[in-house]
Amino acid sequence: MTARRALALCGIAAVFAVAAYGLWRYAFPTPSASRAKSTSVNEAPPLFEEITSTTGIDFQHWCGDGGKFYFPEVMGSGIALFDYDRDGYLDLFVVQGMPAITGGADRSTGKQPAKASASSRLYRQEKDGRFVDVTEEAGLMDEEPYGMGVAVGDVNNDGWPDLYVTKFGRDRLFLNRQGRFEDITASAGIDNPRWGTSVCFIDYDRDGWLDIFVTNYVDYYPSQRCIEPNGSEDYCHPGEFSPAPAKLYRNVTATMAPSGSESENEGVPAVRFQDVSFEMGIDGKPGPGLGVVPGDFNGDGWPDLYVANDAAANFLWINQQGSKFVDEAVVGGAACDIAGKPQSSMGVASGDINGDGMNELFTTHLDGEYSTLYVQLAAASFEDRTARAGLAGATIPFTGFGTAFLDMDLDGNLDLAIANGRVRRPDRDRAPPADPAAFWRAYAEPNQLFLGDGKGGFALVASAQPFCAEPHVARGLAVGDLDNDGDLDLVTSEINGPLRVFRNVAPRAGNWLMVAAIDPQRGGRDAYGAVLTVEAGGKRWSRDINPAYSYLSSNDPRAHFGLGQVDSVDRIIVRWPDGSEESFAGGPANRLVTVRQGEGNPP
Amino acid sequence: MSGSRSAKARQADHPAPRRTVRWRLVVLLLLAGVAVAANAAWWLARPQLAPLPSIPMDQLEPRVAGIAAAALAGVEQDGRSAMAWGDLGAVLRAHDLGPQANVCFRNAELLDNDDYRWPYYLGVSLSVTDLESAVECYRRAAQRAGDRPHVHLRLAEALLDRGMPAEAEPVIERVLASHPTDARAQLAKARCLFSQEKLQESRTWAEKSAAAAPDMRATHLLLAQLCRRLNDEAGQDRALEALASIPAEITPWSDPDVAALLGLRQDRAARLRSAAELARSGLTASATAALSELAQESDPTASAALALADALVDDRKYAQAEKLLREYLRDQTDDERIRFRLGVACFQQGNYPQAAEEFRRTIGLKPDSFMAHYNLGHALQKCRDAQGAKEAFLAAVRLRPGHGLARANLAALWLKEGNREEARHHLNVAAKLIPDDPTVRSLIRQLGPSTP
Repeated sequence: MTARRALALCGIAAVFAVAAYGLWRYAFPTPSASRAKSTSVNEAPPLFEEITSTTGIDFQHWCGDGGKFYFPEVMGSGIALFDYDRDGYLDLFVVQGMPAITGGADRSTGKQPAKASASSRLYRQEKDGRFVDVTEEAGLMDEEPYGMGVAVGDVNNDGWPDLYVTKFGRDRLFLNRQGRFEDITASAGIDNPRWGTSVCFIDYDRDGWLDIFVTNYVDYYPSQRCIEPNGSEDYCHPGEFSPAPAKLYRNVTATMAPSGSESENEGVPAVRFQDVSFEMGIDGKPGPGLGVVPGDFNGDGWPDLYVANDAAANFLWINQQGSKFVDEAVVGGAACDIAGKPQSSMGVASGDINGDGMNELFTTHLDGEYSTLYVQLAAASFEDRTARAGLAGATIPFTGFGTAFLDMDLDGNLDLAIANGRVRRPDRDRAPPADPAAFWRAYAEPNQLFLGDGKGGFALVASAQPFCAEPHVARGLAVGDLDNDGDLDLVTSEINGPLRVFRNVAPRAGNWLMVAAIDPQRGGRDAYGAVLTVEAGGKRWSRDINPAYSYLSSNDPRAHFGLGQVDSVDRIIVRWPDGSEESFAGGPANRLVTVRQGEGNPP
Repeated sequence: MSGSRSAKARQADHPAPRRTVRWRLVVLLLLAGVAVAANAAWWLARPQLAPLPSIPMDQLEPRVAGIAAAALAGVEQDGRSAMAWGDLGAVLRAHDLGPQANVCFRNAELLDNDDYRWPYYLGVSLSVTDLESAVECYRRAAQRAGDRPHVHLRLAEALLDRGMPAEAEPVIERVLASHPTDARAQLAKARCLFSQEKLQESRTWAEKSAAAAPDMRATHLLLAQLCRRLNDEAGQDRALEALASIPAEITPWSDPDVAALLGLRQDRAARLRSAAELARSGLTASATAALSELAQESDPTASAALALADALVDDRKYAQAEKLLREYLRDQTDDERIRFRLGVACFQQGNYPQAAEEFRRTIGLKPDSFMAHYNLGHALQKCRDAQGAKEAFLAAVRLRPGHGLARANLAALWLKEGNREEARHHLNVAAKLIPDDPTVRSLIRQLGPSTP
């Protein structure tokens, strides 16, 4: 047999082999590999860069971390961006969980970590963009555990923004007396011993005085420990405890101190609040609330509230013209996901993503559930359109907390930011490490950014982005134009980690307008609840004056508009919180505009 | 030359045998090649199983470790048995060892791709982390599931969740063709139509589903939403009423496969749940026995002891409950849950000062405990400390302003003190909340006609 023949035989054998293999695979197919992810990924250039080290902010969160899986440890804390000294630059307040001066011990060393900040911190922004810790001189040292959320609002209409801090413990209200804060919790009638989380200021009765809505979480028993079926211990699920009712405090400062009567203290009326939770129907419906966003969801001119509940149906509290709140989340399609399942809602964002003049809602969730986009179809009528928006697949693997709609690249379309971090250890088949850093590393996840298309769709931005690249145990997320350059910057808080500041460096796809809406009759405070509509180049954009969204956090109170290629604005229409409407002249883009109630024209 | 010539001559003399041998050789070689190729093909195509996952046996409770070890032994005995791998996966999945279970289900499917259960279980397991991969698994399971509606409907529901109603629709239609009264299929059909904005048709199917399975919250949630969108206020109210009458816990659709998987659970929480079921069914003795057994095991959560104490209190065995709780208090003095229950046990035995003390300690550990404040009020009333009782009820009302009985108790105390205005205020609230309560009615009579 020649070599050629032998080769031919081998070839025949090979053909047989291939044929046999093909037949085999045909007869016994192996399961196909999962399809490529359908979520579109946008290879955008860097949108944000981290600048924490250059800002002078050195805050370090401490969760207490005693190794006992104390539930509040895993919930994180909030951030407030607000101009407390009224110098035109946003300052920063960050809530400390377990103040290091209070007690508690590190799980491995039995000592408090040296670098943890002693208290919640207030950082004043200087004109050069650096932040200076002014906590003590501002009177904001707070030694009481356990800090959670923060809201900003002017409770006495003096134009100086005040602070409300929620706690696992008793909440605190700090009155801003021209740059120095005073704890007026008791004298103002605030008494919330429940586990307070997100909080917002809202003038629900439209009397011109800001009221306070506090979401409470669960009736937590600190001794309760939770062992998983696999034998490992982890933080408890909220379903282990009874849900807690929220609190609504009505600002009765005006009625307690009638016109002309002022307290002796600096001629400012004594601030008083009255607990109206029961009378207003809020107390009758407990829920494990974590996030809250106010807004006029049914378009009747009265501010409503949307509450994100953890592992329970969300609430859409519709304001019955100041007389009562009625939860319409179920009929409004904003209670559960598309399958009728309640989800583990944490943070919440609101914004008009498709330009129809109605705000959508977005809630962040536990891993295993997608974070849900509720598109508003008619007044207070929503539909879960998460999958259609391209947000389902990308959000299922992560546990989302802070979140915000913002136009990152000024193209005129609202984009989306999410701060992620687990609440359950993925490696529960192993004993948790004693070292706190290693322990929390298991909970770390990358943040996410999505670019909006202005029609209700979103595309995930590549994970190489500085905001998304490094996994952290992020919780709070605050949005604001820190450097007044016309684009929105981000700040995140982390469990047992630093505060991180991200400057917007996105290539600009258009122009912008920043609008402050204030009420001169009320000390020049921000007109929370006002709805602004900018008309330009045949387009319309709507934004609310509302700093309360995301998770445990308070954001820049000014309305930010990305305008795309439009370079001048026709007019700005404002619907003020009292229901009146005014129109203000437009003008060139790329500037900060202040509109004052009473100084505009009829629309 | 002569040698060469003679060879040629030999070839000419015997040409046929030599050719035959040569062709036989070729055939033999060919056959050998085929055999080698077939063997190689078989070897190459043989399912490549993932290695046994690491199972944290030392972390598992002894009972769980026991059944996991038994299932593991099955795989070790016959590593090519799909059933053994599947059983191990089911045990692991049931005890929240998802990643390990997924490895087992994949191996089981590789070894037996006729059995729908392995991709089905894998899909169920993956659905909490990766819905897209879960859908793929459900697709494979549905291809092999025959007439098992729950498998097809799981696929349809996952497709609807992913915003793919067009693909879900034929799956649902197939189920409805063979099971026209299946409430789950009817709801899936309603959801499918809803996502296609066919609201009236969707409502028809949702109503069919609600009639067939009136206890499913998801159906009434959809109906309420549909009625709002269709401007049917009466229908909306009916749906809300139905929702209010159904327990808040989600009732899952019947799924024999998932039920079989959950039935494998042997961890403490599952056993506690079983004991609680016994207690709810009135089988107090059996529940107490089960809880006693659990309480004797090492339990860092003390959950069995607490449940046992509750069961003993329910069974009016207060002294026994107190004894048990005091034993636990020796090690865990700052456990507010034990303190509270101890207060209840003392109260029920008439030891009111001790009960008040335990409720105070509970409040010290958990200041936002409504029940501790409320019970303290009652204990102090029994101790004839009216002022203390009033303060306790006031604290309770601050925590839960809508609690009718706390309001009524407060009203009674104010009335005793002669403060009719405060009494009336709280009684008015109580009358709105619990108008038929005898205490409230009696107080209304005492306060006179101006009270509503």
